[in-house]
Order: sequence, then structure tokens, then C-alpha cells
Amino acid sequence: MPTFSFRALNKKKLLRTPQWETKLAIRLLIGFFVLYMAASFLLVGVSIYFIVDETVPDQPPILTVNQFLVYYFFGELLLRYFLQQLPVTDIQSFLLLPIPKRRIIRNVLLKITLSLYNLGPFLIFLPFAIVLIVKGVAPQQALSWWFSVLALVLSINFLSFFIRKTAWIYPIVGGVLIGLFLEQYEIVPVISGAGQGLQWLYEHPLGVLAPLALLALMGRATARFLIKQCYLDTGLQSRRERVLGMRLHFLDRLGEDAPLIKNDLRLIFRNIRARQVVLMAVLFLFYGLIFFVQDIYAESPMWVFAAIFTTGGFMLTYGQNVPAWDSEYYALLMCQNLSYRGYLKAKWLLMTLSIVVSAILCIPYLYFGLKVYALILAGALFNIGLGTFITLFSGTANRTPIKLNVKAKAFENTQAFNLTQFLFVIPKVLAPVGIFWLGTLGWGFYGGVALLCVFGTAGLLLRNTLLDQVVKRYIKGKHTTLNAFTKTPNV
Amino acid sequence: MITLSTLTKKYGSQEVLNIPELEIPSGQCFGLVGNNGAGKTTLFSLILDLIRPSTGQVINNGHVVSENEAWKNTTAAFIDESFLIGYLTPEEYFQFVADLRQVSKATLEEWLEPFAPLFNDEILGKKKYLRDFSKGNQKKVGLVAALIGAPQTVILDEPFANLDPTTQIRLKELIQKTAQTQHTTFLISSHDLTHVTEVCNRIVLLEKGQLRKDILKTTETLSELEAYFKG
Repeated sequence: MPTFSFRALNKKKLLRTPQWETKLAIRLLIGFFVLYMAASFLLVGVSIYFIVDETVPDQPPILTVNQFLVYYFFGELLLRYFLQQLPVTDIQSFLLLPIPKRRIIRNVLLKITLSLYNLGPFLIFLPFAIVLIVKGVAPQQALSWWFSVLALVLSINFLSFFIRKTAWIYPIVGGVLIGLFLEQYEIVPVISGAGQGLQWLYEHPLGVLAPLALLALMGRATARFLIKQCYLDTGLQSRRERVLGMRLHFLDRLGEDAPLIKNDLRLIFRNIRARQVVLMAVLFLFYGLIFFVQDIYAESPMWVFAAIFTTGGFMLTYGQNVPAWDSEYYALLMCQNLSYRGYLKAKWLLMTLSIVVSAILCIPYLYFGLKVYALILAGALFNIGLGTFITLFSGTANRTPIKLNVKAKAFENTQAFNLTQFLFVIPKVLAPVGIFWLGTLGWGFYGGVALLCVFGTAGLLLRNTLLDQVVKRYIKGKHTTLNAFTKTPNV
Repeated sequence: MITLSTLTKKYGSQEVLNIPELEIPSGQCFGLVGNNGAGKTTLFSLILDLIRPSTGQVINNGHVVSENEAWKNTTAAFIDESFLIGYLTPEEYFQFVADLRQVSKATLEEWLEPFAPLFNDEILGKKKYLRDFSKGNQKKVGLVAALIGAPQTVILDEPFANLDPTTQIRLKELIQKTAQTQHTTFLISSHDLTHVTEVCNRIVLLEKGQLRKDILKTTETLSELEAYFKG
């Protein structure tokens, strides 16, 4: 009699994700990216010892690392809390099958444990432990320390699922903040105390039993907790959100574009995935801090990058996935009394608004000089005149549907990635650098700024023609896009 | 009026729909029946230009749908949940459709009033996103939204499925009343032979993409269809 095996199912699930079914070239590219990331982490792991030894020379590196680890654990907890998802769908489909609940939960625990988020200890701390051994630390000491770290990371892994369903995150964050405060004013050294605890584990190899016991305890507790969650009205219930009131009447003056723009704003504020992406767009505003502060980049093409990124964050993150944001109801839009032109014009307007707002929010960059802000404004103008249209144009190549209210998994943001879109980065980001450089050749810094403005203005003047071209491309791809969007995206 | 001529749809070598000729005059209540895979949704998708025909064309109100977007001014549809915007409340969704159909907020609110019994106090003012509603209530919202702005043609795929009995009866009355007062053309597909013969004045039966029956409704239509499907 054939026996049921979760392993076979898990294998199918993995092999049948859309990532595997994409073209070989993209698969290779993503694979290469993953390897690159892994290599980078490994490099960090290997070099920690030497970096720490150099920056804090008066104590052994392991002590410094242990003191820092508390922050690392806390950061990891936050990251997991916000990003990692409980594989709920894996529970629901099995509830009615003759499989013991404990086995279902065991499978879920296994999946959580094998998650990509748990690679940190292997990629960063294992190389560090090996360097320790090379540097003469007793192997049993280095390795038991590493096992302690691993056990603690996995405990945090389980803890993050616990606190997801409760409000524990607030006391935890509060506790850490109070700890920081007590530490800072040297009242009670809570944080360095925790560091000392780790140091103790390092000095007493047998101490590894404590974190291992904690891990076992956490694993058991999580299993028990999950078993209780196995009901449709507890853990498996999708959380119903409170409605975020957004009347947005002030937008009505935009006339016929108003309904679509209102809709996009609601989309952004009410869907997890969109919020994640737009949050990233906000971070782009700080891009300038990397380039404008360092003298080596002064007036170099890197400044142009910064100018394009600081003002074009929304365009580059949100805009890039037009029309996939509307994939869940694309058929509706295609049947409404709404032309493609109207649809695309609203998207253009929204991106333009975001660029204008970003340019205003960038005013503090004036602190770094008039030149910096002049370039930011020129970058904004280029983004409005040409960047937006290139973004919309490249959107037709993007046919991966987006599940709006589901958190992105690791590498899922690369899912909507494809080669054609990648090629459009050249005109969007590299071209302005080239244009600026050409301008500086003839007339110095402000020549470059002026030439960027000329290109931006030209695009703005030709906006109707450019939009027509974009519309043509969308109409041509309409049925292919519809077909792609009706395929259920990977949850 | 909707005219189909030499309309076929093939996926690879498999032909899923083949309709040499079909004309649906304005004001007709057109019912489409057939088992799973008969091509009902394919036909509606072709009429709405959601898929491209392999041969032939659909002419809606004088416009070839695959060449011109003007048919959208006069046609509305509710095919499935992909016609709903999950992150809107029902009010916002109605308003969105109304905005696109140039119906003012005040007119919309007044127009929605008679739907109170259909909504049964479960739709409006609930402060809930559409994605959090039950399937049946989602469907009510989609069906009502398709009628906003008095479109000349309304296409509904399986409108009775997933609805509770009371709502099914009210929906039948609603369709009949709208057809009579506004001379709306309705295209309705259904697995429920009783409902569809009651509402529609013409029934077309598809099987494996072929048109098998095209009958104007009489008192015998229901038993004729039942006899056919009994096999």
C-alpha cells in the first residue's frame, strides 16, 4: 500500500513554483543572484573576525561579537515578524485527510526551520567559528558557541510565529528600548549582560545545553500552539482588517483621472504587498545620503544616480509593476467604460505626483549645497518627462500577476522580473548619467544639469505622443496580459 | 445588437468554440445553457474582447470589439470575482464604476435605494472590504454594479450560482424588470434550467463549442431542455 509522504508533496510544491517555470535565462540569473548573495554573506562571515579585531583591538573579537549579537537577534526577530509568513495553506488542505494533526504540524515546523531566513548562522557565523579555530581557539569551544547561536536563532524563528498571533511584539520592543536606555545611562547593564551570557556560553562549551534546551522548549511550545490554531475560526482565519477610511474628495478636481488615482491610493494603503513596495520607495529618498556626503563622489556621475533615485523611488518600485498591480481585476478594467489611454494617463499622473512630492521632500539636501539640489531637480524633471514613460513602456513586458494582500516571500520580488524589463534600466537610470556627462563636457556641472532639464522638458512637451506610443503597446499586448493575469499567482 | 460571424476559438489544435452565425437583437433576454466545457464562458469572453478569436469577429452595436473600444460605453458585465476590486468597500466599488460611467454620487445613492431588500442589510455601511465578504454577497455587489448607469447590454455569467434562494428570486425579478423598463439586452449563462427559461425569451444550447439548439421560449422549452440534458 502506498504511504502518504509530505516530502513528495513538498518536492512538487518547490518544483512547480512559477520561478522554476520561467525561462532558463532568468532562472540562471536568479540562481546567480542567490549565489552572489550567499557569497557576500560568506565573505562577511569570514571577515568579521578581522574587521572586529581592527576596530576594537583591546578585547578578543569573540567578546565584541557576543556583545553585538543581542542587537542582531533583535533585528532578526523584527525582520521575521514583518516578513516571514506562516504556511497556513499547508495546514488547511490536510485537516480533513486521515493524517494526524501532529504530523501536519511537524511538517509545518520542518518547513519553518528549513526557511531561507535561517541561513544566517550557516553563512555568517559558521565561517566566523572556523576562523576562530584557525586562529587557535579550541574547536569544541568555537563549535559549541556556534551551536548555541544556531539554537538561539531557531528559537527566535519559532518565537516570531508565536508573537504574530498575539500582541507580544510591543512588550518585546518596549523591553529592548528600556534595556537600551538602562544600558546607555549605565543603570543596569542589561544588554551587555546578555552579551556576557553569550560569552559565558563560549567559555563553557557544555553550556550549549542551555540554548539547546531552550530550542527544544520553543519547538514544543510552538507545536502545541499551532495545534490549537488548527481551526478555521482561530489561526486559519484570515485576519479581517479595519477599513481605512479614505474619501479622498480633494482628488475630485482631477476630473476624469480622479477615480483611477483614488483607486491607486487605496490600493497602496490597503494591501500588504503594495505597502511593502512603497515603503521601499520612501527609503529611496535617503539614497542621496550615501552619495552627496562623500567628497569622492562630488559632482561625479554618481550624483546623477542619486538624483534619479531620490526623486524616482516610487516610479522605480511601484511604477515598475504597472499594470501587474491591477492584475487581480484586470478583466474588470478591460470591460469598463475606460480607455487604455485614460488608464495609463492616470498612472503617469500618479508617478508624476510622487516625483514632485519627492522633490519637495528632498529640500533638506540643500544643506549639501545648491549644486546638489539643482541636480535633484534636474533628475526629477528627467524622471517626469522621460523616466515615467519608459517605466510604463517597460510595464508591458511584465506579465506576472501580483497577489495584493499577501506578503512577499524571499525572492518573490524578483518574480516579476524579466530580461526585457532589466534592459529598460539602461534608458531609465544610465541614460541620464550619460546625458549629464555629455553636458559637463561642454559647459561644466551646470551644463550637465541643463542638458538633463532639456531632455526632461522635451519629454514633457511630447507627452501626448509618448503616451500614444505606450497605449499602442498596451493594446497590442492586451490579450497576452489578460491571459497571464488570470493564472493564479504563487501564494 | 450583437452579431457574431464565423466565430471560432482554438487552443492549439483543439477547437473550443465554433459559431458560424448568431445575432442577438437589442432588448432580448438571451439565455445560454450547456454543460461544463461547452464554451459558455469562452463565448462571453470573446464578446467582451477578453480573449482573441481564432477566426471571425464580434460586432457589438456597430463596433468590431477587437478593433475599437467604443463598445465599452454601452456594455457591462459580471463574469467572476476578478470583476471585483477586493480592497474597496462596496460603496467605494459602486462609486468607482459609477464614476467611470459618469453617474454622479447623488444619482448613484438614489439608484441604490431600491436594492435594499436584495442587499438584506449585509452590504452597505458594513465597513468591510469586498475581499472579506462571503461569495454570495460578493456576487450581489458585482451583479448590481453591472447595472449602474443603465448600460444597453449586460452580460452575466452564472448569475444564480452561489446565491441564496431569496436572492435568486429577487434577481430574476430584477432582470425581468430591467429588461422591460430599460429595454436592456441581457446575456445570461446558467446551469439552472428553471431560472434561465423563466427569465430569458430565447435559449441557446451549446455543446462542445457547437450550437445545438436555438429556441424562442415557449411553455415546452423547459421540458425540451431537460430531455436534452438527460441524454
